[in-house]
Amino acid sequence: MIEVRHLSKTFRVAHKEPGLAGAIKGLFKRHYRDVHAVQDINFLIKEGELVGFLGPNGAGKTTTLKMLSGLLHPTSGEAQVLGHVPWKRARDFQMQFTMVMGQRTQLWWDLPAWDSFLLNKEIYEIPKAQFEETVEELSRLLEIQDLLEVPVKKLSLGQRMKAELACSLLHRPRVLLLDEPTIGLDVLMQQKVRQFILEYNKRDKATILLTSHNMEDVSELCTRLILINHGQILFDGSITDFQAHHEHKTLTEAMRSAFASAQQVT
Amino acid sequence: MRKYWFVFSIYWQEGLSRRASFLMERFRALVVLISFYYFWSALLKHRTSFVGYDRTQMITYVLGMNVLRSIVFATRTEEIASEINHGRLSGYLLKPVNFMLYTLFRDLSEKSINLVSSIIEVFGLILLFHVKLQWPQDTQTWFLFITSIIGATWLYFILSFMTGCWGFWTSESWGPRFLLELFLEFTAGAFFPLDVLPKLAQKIIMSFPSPYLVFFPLQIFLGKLNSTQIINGFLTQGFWILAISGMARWVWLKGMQNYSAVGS
Amino acid sequence: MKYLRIWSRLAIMSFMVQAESFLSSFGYLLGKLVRIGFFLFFLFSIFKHTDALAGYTLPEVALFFLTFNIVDILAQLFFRGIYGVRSLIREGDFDYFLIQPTNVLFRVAFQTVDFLDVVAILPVFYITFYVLRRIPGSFSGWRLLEYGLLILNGMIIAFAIHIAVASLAVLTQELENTIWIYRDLMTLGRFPSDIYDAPMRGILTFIVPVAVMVSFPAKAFLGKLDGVWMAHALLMAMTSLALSLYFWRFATRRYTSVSS
Repeated sequence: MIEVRHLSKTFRVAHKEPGLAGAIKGLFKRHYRDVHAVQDINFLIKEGELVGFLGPNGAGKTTTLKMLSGLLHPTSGEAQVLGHVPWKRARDFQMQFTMVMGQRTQLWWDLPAWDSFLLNKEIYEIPKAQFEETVEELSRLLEIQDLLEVPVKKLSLGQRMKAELACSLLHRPRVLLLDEPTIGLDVLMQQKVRQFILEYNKRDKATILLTSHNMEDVSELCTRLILINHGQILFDGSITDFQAHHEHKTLTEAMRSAFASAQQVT
Repeated sequence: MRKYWFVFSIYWQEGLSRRASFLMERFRALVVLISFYYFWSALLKHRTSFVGYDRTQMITYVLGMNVLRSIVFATRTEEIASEINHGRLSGYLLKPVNFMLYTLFRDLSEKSINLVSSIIEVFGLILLFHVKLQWPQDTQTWFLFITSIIGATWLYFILSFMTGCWGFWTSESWGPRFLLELFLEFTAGAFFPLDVLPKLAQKIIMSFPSPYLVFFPLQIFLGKLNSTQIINGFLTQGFWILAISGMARWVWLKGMQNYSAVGS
Repeated sequence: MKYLRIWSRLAIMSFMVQAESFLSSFGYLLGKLVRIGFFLFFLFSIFKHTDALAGYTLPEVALFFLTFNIVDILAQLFFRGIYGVRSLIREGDFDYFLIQPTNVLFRVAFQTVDFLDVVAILPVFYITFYVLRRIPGSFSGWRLLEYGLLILNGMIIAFAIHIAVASLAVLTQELENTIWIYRDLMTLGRFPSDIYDAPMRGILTFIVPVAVMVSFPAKAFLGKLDGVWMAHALLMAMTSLALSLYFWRFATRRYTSVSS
C-alpha cells in the first residue's frame, strides 16, 4: 500500500548574515547550507496497517509525510502509495487518500463545518446518497451531530479537530496520513479521537500512518512503530519488540533511551 | 513632548522598513498624477484655457494636488479602529501617554515620509516632461499657503481620528470608512479643481468641510483668491476645525465610556 | 461541470462570509458605485465646457470609462482569490489544494468569489448599455459582438496577469502586493488611450497592455479599430496566457521541491 525505497530529501538553506550589511552582502553572494531532512529511508506498509511514525522535532516526520502526500518532490529515491507516485499528483491517487495536518485546517473559519463538507462533496465528486450516509455515520462516531451548524471559529480546538477529521474522510480514503492529530487536545478529547481512528481503521480496512509526540497515541493505536531521528530510521517493528529490545517497562522510557543512544552514535 | 518626537522618529523607521507597501502607495499616487497630467494636457492642447485655468495653472494644480494629498490624506488612523477592536488600546491607556497626541505624531511621521516622496515624484515629472509651473510671487502668499495646509492637515486628522473611533461601536468600520474617504477625496478637489463642476454642485460642495483640505490651499497657491475670499476661507476652515474637534472629543469620550463599560 | 459546481459552491460560501460583515461589505460596494458615479459626473461637467476630448464626444469618453470598469470589476469578481495567495500558503490551505483532486490554479483563483461585484456590475452594465445606444451610427449587432469579444479578450489578459502574480507569490511566498500595481496601472485606462503621447501609448499597447484590455473594446465599438489591431489583441492574449501558465507550472513545481 505504501512503499518507500531509499527516499531522501535535502533542503538548500540560504545562510543570511544578520543586519543590514549582511542583507546587502546576501544580494551578491549567498552561502548555502545543505540540510538533510530525510536520508535514505525504507519501509513498507501493508493494507489495513496502523503505523505510528515517531521522532523528535525536526526528525523528518513531516517532510516524509509531505513527500508521501505529493506536496514535496524528493531529492532522490522512490515511493509508491496506492500504486501511484505521489508527487505526480494523479487524480486517481488524490481521490483515494487524505492528509490531516493537526496544526492546520481546511475548514472555512467563518462558516459552519457543514459548508466545508459540501465543498468537499463537489471536489471529490461524492454521490448525494453516499455523502449523506457518510456524514451521518462520521458525525455519529465523532459525536458532532449538533456542531455541524456552528461556525468553525466558535468551536473548541477538540471539536474542530473532530470536524476536520470528518471533513477529510468524507470521500472514504483508503490511505490516511495524519500529522499530529491529537496536538493541543485535552486528555478526554485525545481519547475520543484515538477511538475514532481505531474504529475507522477497522471498519474500512484503511491504511493509516500517523505522526505524534504523544506516546499514548502510539501505544493505544499502533501495532507497529517506525522511529526516526535526524532523517534516519532507528527502529521499525512491533511495539512489543521495541520494548523488549530496550528492556524497559514503559514505552516512553524505551523511546528516551533509543534516542539517547542514537545521539551518542552521531 | 520628547516622547512624542520619539514616536515620530520610530514610525519613520518603521515606515522605511515597510518599503513594499509604502512604495505601492506612492505608485498609486504617481499613476493618478500621470493620468491626470495627460488628461488635462489633451484637453488643453487646442485651447488656451479651461474654466479659467491656463495650461501652466492646470498642471500646477495637478502636481500640487499630489503633494497636498500626501500631506493631508496620509494617515494611519485606520489603525485606531483595530486597536480598539483587538483591545490593544488598553495598552496605551495604561501608559502615561496621551493617545490622541500619540496618533497625531504617528500620522505626522507618515505624512512627512509621503511628503518627501511626493516632492521627489513631482520634480521627477517636471524634469521628464519639461513642465512649467506657476509659483507664488510673494512671501505673503507662501505664508498663507502654508498656514492653510496646516489647517487642512489638522482638519483631516481630527476627521479621520473620529472615524477611527467608530471602532468603539462596530468591528466593521472599514467599509463606511472607505466610503467616507472616497467622498472626501472627490469633494476636496483631490482629483480635479472643483471649478470644473456645475455651479450648483460647487455651491453644495463648498458647504462641506472637504474643500478646505486641498482645493482652498491650492487656490491660494495659484493666486486665484482676493483678500476677502482668503479671509472668508480661513474663517470657514477655522470654524470646521473647531466644530469637528468638538465632535471628535465628544465621540472619543462617549466611546471611552463604552469601552470601559464593556471592559475588553 | 464538476468545476462549475465547485465554483458555485465557493461563490455561495464567499457570499455567506461576506454577509457576516454586512456593514463593511455594503459600505465597500456603495463606495465602488459612488466612485463610478462621481467620475461620470466629472466627465459630464467637463463636457459642459468642451465638445471633445482627444477627438471623442461625451458618450464616447464615458464608454471608455465604463469599459474600464467592466473589465476591472469582472476581473475582481472572478479572480479575487489571487489577492490572498500568500495567506493561502501561510495558513496551509495551499497544501490542501495540492493534495485534492482539483486543478490547483482553479482553486487559487476562485477561492473567494466577490459577490458584491455581481451587485456592482449590474448598474454598470445598465449605464453602459444606455451609453452604447446614445452613440450615433455605431449601434449594431456586429459592433456589439466585437465589443463583447474584445472585453473577453481583455479578461484573458487580466487572467494571465493574475496567474503571473500568483506564480510570483508561490515562488517567493510574498510579493502578492504586485497585484495592486496591476490595479493601479489599470486606472490609466480610465481615459481613452489617445490622450497619451506616443511613447506612453506604446507602453500601454505593447508592454503593459492596459489599452488592449480596456480601450480596444470601446474603439472597436466606435469603428476605430482595424483588423490588424484586433489580431494584435488576440495575439497578446494568447501569448500572455501561455507564458503565465508556463510560469505557474514552474512556480508550483519549485514550491513542491523546495518548501519545507
